[in-house]
Amino acid sequence: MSRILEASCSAAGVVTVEGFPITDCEIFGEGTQASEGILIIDGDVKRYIPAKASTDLKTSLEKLSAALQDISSALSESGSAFQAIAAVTGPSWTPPGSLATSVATINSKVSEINTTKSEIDTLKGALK
Amino acid sequence: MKLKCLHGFYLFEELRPGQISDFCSLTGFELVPFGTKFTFAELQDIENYSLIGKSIGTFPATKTFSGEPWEIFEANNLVFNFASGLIVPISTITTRAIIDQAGNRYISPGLLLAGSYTNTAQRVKSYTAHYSRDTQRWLYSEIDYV
Repeated sequence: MSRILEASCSAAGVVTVEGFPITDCEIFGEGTQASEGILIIDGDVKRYIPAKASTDLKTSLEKLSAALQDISSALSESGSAFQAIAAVTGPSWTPPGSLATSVATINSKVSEINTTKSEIDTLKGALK
Repeated sequence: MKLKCLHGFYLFEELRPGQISDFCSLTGFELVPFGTKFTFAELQDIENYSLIGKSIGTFPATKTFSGEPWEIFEANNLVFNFASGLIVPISTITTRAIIDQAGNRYISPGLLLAGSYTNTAQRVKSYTAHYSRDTQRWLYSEIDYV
């Protein structure tokens, strides 16, 4: 017979139910923050599941997806710039007109990727 | 009337109308409904889980566990002492169990207390019993020991 109880978990990994600490409890979560959740007791097997882990994971995945999109855009812009350079012919080489724009776009995407990475790192550290 | 003692948790079953009320009148014990059966009033609120440190009756649990109330008792080595009306560790029962064989059953003076020990130092853990109105005694079968 399983029983599900409201529980909490401290940052130190101590699970408590009704104020009583639960020893030898498996904690489903990779984070290091305190959380509220549920304790499942099945015989003498105890498992703690944080209540908001899925929300943290969803946000992290959304940020990762946005970062991958920025990488894709930057690489695409790089490809266009190199194509423009390769198309330049003649005895004296001058940069194609689009090169400055492409470089600016690439730099902008790199900056956005770095910002997103910082946000993901912050979320990772706040996982419950 | 049928009685199942499961690690010191008692379940009474009325086989004919009036048996429970007769038992209560004769013994002075209070029995209350427990699902489709009856049990002692002190046992009706036993939960189906225990947390280390949280009291079961008046005694703190020693194990975090989930299961039927009698499984909770077994996991925490507790029994109900109907003589004192308390839930206690099985090791604290000092009553001597006198069990004699009678054909294919066993007999014992009065109601057998879970935790009582035999002359071979085994403690009664569980049993099934039927009350014989003719002889006014319990006939025991399937006695388990720890």
